[in-house]
Amino acid sequence: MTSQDRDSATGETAADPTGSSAARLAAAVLDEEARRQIEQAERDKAVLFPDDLLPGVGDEPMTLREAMIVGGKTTVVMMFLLNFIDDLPRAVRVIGPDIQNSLNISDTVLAGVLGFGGVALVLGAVPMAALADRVTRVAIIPVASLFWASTMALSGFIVNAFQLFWTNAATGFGQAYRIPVSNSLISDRYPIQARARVFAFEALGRPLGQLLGPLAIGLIVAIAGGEEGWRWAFYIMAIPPVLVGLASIAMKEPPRGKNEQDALLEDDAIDVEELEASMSTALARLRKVRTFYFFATGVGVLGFALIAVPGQFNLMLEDKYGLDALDRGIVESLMWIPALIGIPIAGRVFDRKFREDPEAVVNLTGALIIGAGLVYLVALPIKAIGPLLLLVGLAQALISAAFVAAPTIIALVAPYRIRAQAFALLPVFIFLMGGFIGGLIAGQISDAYNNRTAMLILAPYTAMLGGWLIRRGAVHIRRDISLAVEELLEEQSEARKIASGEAVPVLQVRNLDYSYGPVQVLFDVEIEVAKGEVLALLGTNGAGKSTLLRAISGLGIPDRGVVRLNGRTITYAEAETRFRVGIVQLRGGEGIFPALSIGDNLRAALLGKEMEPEEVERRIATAVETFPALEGRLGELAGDLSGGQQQMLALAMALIHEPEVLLIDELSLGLAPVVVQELLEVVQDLKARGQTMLIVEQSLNVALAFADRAVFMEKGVVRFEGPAQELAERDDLARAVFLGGEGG
Amino acid sequence: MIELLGIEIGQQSIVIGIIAGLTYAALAAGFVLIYRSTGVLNFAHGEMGFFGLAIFVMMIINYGLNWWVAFALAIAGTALIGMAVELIVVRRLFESPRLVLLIATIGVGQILTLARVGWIPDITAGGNIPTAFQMTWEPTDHIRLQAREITVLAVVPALIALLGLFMTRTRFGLAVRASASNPDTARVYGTSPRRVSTIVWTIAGAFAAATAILTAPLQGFQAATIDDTGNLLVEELLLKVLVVSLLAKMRSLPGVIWAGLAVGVVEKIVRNNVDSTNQSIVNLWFFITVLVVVLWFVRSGRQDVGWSLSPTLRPIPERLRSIWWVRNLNGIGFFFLFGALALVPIFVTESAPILTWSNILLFAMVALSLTVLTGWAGQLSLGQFAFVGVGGLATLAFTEGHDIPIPFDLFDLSIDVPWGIAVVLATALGVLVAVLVGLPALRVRGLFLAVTTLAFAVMAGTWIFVQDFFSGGTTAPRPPDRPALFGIDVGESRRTMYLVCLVTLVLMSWVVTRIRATGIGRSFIAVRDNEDMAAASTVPPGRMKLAAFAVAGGMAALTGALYVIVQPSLSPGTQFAPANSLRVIVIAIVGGLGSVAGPVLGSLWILGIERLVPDQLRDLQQLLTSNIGLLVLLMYFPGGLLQIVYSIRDGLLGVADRRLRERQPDEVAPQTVEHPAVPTSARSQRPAVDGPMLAAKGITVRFGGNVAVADVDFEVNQGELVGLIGTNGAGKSTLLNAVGGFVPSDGTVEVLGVDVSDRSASARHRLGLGRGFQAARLYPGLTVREALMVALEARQHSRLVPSMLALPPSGAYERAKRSSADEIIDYLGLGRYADSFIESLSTGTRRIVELGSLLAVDARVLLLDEPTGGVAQREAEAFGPLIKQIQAELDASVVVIEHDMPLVMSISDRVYCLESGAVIANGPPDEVRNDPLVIASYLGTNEAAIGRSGPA
Repeated sequence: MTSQDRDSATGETAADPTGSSAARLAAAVLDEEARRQIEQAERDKAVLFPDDLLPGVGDEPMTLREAMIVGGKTTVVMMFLLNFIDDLPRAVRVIGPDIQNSLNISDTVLAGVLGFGGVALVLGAVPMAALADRVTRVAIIPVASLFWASTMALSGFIVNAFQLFWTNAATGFGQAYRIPVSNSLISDRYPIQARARVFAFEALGRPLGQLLGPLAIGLIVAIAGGEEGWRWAFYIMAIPPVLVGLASIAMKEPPRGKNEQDALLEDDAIDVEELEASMSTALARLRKVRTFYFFATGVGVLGFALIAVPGQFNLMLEDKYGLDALDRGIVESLMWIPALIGIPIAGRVFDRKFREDPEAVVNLTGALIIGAGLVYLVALPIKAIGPLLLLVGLAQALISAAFVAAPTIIALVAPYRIRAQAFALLPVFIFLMGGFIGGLIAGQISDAYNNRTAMLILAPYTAMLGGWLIRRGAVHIRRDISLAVEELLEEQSEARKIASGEAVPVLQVRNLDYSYGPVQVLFDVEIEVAKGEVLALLGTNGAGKSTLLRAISGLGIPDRGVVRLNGRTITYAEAETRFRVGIVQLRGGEGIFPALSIGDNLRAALLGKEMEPEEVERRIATAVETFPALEGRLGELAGDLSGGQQQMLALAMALIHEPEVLLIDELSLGLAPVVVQELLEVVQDLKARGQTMLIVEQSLNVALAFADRAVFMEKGVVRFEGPAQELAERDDLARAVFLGGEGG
Repeated sequence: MIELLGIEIGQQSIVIGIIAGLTYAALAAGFVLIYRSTGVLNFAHGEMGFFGLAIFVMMIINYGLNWWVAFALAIAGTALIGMAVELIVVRRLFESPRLVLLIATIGVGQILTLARVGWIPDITAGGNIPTAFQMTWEPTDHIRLQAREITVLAVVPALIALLGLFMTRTRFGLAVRASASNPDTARVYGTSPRRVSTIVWTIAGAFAAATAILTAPLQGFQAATIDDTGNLLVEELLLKVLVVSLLAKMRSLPGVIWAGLAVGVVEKIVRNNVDSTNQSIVNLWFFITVLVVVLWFVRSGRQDVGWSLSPTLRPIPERLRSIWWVRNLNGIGFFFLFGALALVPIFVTESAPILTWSNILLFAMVALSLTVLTGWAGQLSLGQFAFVGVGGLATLAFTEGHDIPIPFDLFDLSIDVPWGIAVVLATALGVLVAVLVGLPALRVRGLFLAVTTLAFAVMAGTWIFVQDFFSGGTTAPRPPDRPALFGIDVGESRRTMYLVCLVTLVLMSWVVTRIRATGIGRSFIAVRDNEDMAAASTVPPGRMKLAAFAVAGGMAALTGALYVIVQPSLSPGTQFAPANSLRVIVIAIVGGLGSVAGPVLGSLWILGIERLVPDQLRDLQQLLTSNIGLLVLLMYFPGGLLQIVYSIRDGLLGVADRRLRERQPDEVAPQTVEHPAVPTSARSQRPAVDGPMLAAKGITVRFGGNVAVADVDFEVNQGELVGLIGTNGAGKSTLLNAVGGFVPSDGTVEVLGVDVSDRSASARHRLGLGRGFQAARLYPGLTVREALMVALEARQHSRLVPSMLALPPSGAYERAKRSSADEIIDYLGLGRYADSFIESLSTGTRRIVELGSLLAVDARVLLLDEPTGGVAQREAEAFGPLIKQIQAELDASVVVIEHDMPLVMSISDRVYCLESGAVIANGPPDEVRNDPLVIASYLGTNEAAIGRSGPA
């Protein structure tokens, strides 16, 4: 729906009294459309929480020192050190010419080899982050540090480009854990009010590393001297990661989401169990966090500038200004000084801004990046080396300052369970979107013209565009934080209930919103099914019943809300995983494989579980016993069965398992009464055996025959929940139930 | 040696035919594997195999590896490539329409070609492709087999059998079949269709390599050329693979073997019996076989749910239309685009660059034909450049007076006309050929036009263009000298030619714009989005698709007439080959499929960047215009370059909107329109009917072995409103579909006293049937007003040629339709949604639009399938009176399928109750409601529930 439609819709919602009678009648429907659009717009606003419910907003200021008292010094210092040494493998580009001479390889080969290290670093970040979201993060650090230290040392022994390729790629992969692990550890360790400061402190490690790293490498090579002096750089630079890795053993793992919990809850948070989110569902969920979406896109565009500039600049210093490796090392180091000043300031400013208005943080971040673009625009044409270095350094400082806000923002908007993966996506966007393509284009342009032109074409405008994109996300941040907060509050209240010994429902759905593209179909849906209970889900066509089942069985990922099985959150698990933990769905009208034989249908239903062939045959035999109509017909094509027989087969496929909860979509769909009777007997038998079931039904009669409780839905909203008999007596709702058709 | 009906059949030729057939079967098996498991027509299959072959040859010749080791490594490597293709491309497009995936595989194939040619080190020695062993076997005196043939005989059937066993006998095969049959159900039982897809593509990669390595020695490839031949899966081979796959109904692996053998043997025998100089006639036979196979074997596939690659152009809000530049935004855009192109000859004076620029325009014209065909009508042609060839060479033939081939040489005929007339004739020929080629494929749903056009292109390139009429008896036809048009010497200079091309492009763009603005274009899109609904609006789907293809063929042929005078030399075999047709598809997609400016932008991008970008950046340009670029676009910006233009346009509109608001802060009060009591304009004369308005007798519908409707008699009298109730699956919708002609059925149907049993759906509706569908999907890609105007086609069919050329009566028709549509919009109070895309409306509103369509169709018998389905209770209450109102308005009879008991009982004069495909009750509502059979079947025995289901 376009905005102008919505505008005009709000303009005239009442029926036009002068219209024809047909228009008056149609208005009943059309006004509903207008109302739907308005309601949807309002629902968007509805999840906005007031400031005092947003963690950190409006809180007392906190200094870095205070934050360290609360969270301890170890984590931030370790993270600072890791960041400090992180760029060492890339600092070897200052000795690139030496390596080239020694191994006799071309510019392109060296660039390709080193570039692939970057790719490994980025691509490794996503799986590493998925790991970090699951296992103890502090354990990853020493292992990974020692690993990349060793590959670094190995790089000193290489004799050809091929070997360098492997050691360098391995080093990149070994470092891939750092961004997700470090950012999520800091987020969980330090209070929200001072988070930007802490991140700023950690961020200082990078410019310091950039400042000292090349210098140190240059020095080592100078001291070692000779053709093979560069090897010493690798040997010696392997020492710092070993030391830091060993020291990191002192760290302790903070509980996930602790600070948000502390900010929102009176009591201590309770640990909650969750079924692991797969990478693809985590990504699907993050896509729906709009602030994150804009931020990632903006940063991706910024990547053109971010990746192309340093390389090209270095080449330009060599070609145009005739600086040798050592000089370039020094110059590059000095250029980081503005950043060293900018980052701490940014930390304080962002903390203050955030207390006042989270939107301002995003806007300022964008503004800083746009500013950097403008500085590039002025700086790059300058020929005199002094002002050039100063201004490029300034631009670098602005970007570094802006990046202090990045983890702060992401920590607040991304659901904390998949936070590390959210952190990991940023470098992916930077390197793959801007970096990879930008690098290629920059190389081409600089080959054709010169480095300066390449930078001038790429850097300023992409930075400005990136900054603008980031600012576009600002309006969404309150909503996104609110959603994250809501998720957390709900989860804790639930955990508290469980801890206090209340019965845990087998299946629970809370605050569920779901949309297909721009059209939202479920609004704030809540249902619970207790152990052994049979719940009937009734409602008109298009009420969202089937969509709700999709969200429960994992065929769709909701925009908001949680799904739990036996108290365990499964919201982000794939359908395949949910099947394994005990959710089986009978899909109404589509529950079978029409192109397969009946026997193969039953066998295919068992594919998801490892099973002995004898066990498979035994279960199939049992299923056939329950549904004699299938007997002796296992070879027939399922698609040729009548509607009723197909539904029986579908039920047989579902019952071949012993699910925790059985979801049945449209039980009596298209079935003759006799068949419904037969199915009802099966369902009642199951009920007697204590099977927990959620059954979508369109016939109140049928529902009354088996259901303990009923939920009635209309237009994506739960309108009634209670004993089934009570619903039957509700004239306003029950009548509507008879409208039912298929789907829903 | 046997002789049969004058055809010689030798033992050797049968054996050679069998071997060739097995080769086709092996390739087809891989093709079928992918199609069957993922629904994708994988045009990259051959290239995957040849990539493996190239690695294999390289490993043996350059590095001296053992045959078996190299074989294993090459298969493993290609399997990895298959996996990579799935993970990078297919997975990303998993939910996309199959057309997009088809195009993506073309892109993948070309990238693999580039990779094979560019990245694989040069193969250092020549000679044959190595075989695993050396031997000769002479089973009889006439048959002599070598190692390469023995290998194929022995291994290929085994490979296919293994694949078949794998699919039918293993757990994994079961998983593949299950996820192909119903992916979501597979997921809820723990089988991941995505993982299955990855593994299938991996296997397909391995299979492709194995086939290529085993069969390449037979196809006469030389080792040294494997790594640098442009396109190894020559279209001729691909064509045979397609024929074999189609004969095997795209699914049966044993069928693939039989079909392969049949094709191979028949081909060999035919080849042995035709003149050695006329071997290419075999391709003509292949083409005819394809047409016949498509005609006989292919049944309508499932329609892709309304899809569109087109960038959507938002309608300009009514109140911004007061600003002149907003009103004329599109015109201004075209003015600048074509104005800039008109300036080119001023700045470009050398002859070589101006040739490139002319080619840019020519390719844009051909791509423009795809705007109509692919963008709007949703069909794909892989042989558009063959039509360019037909048009171009025919123009030459008509100007030079080549003999026109007459069957059996009954008489001599040649046409020798001035160039201008020859162009017109050639265009007409293009239209005619398009109709012949398109007819078999377009009568069914699915992408089979891609197959038949490919067959046509192969046949045209090898056979048609060497016929005397087209070639003039020479091997290299020459461009004509200085053709003239209206006294203008077109061939005077390259610049004149450029300008002639530009003028033609402008005219073509104008025509295409006309098509889109009239009923023809709307009908194309309607057919693409929803064939059934279009047919119910009396728009015949098959004919509209054919019309779109005819227009596209004519446009390509007209382009051809210019193409042959612009080119410095002609070589029909390469210039009109499928490679250029693929290029045009790329251009259309890069520019923005389904738009008028898109093809020009795409052509400028693909062909023009090399003129705009300095020579130093040649690599960059190649990167940007290669198929990597195409794939990236498909995956991330399916709207192409025009999507970017449109976002700028939306930005401008936003600015205009803000400025307008500043100046006139108050909303303009909605105009109060005098609603006409009834939309009466252009109502047809209604013939009086004696007897029932609708009478169906003995209707029986079978799906497979399942009888959905069994011998139903059904009658609707004048002015009657008949309710149709019954449980879901009782056959109610199927009955209406049978009456409407959407499913084949036994029995007779009479509409207004006319027996329509043999007529198509659109013909039945033209008589006065009106249909509302259960899903109320309508046409997602059209606005409400446009959808109503499609329905108005029932009153006045738009005519193709007048619409294209803005000749009378198209203008009057359009005005009449627009005002009728506006009347209906006012009548139903739809004004505020008139310019909204159907896509964005809720079911309830769509149902109102659907009722509006029935008014537009001016139907006499309305068949409504759950008109309140998907509508909430309080809205649904309006539908009863509304249906009554519309019934009175149209003076129509109505059939309503409804589950809303109170509604159906209150409005119906008579009610039918169906159960298991048969009528169990028929009578007044009260009677039916109390019928014991109905109670048992439908209402149930719960007294409370029955009481509640009566009128409130």
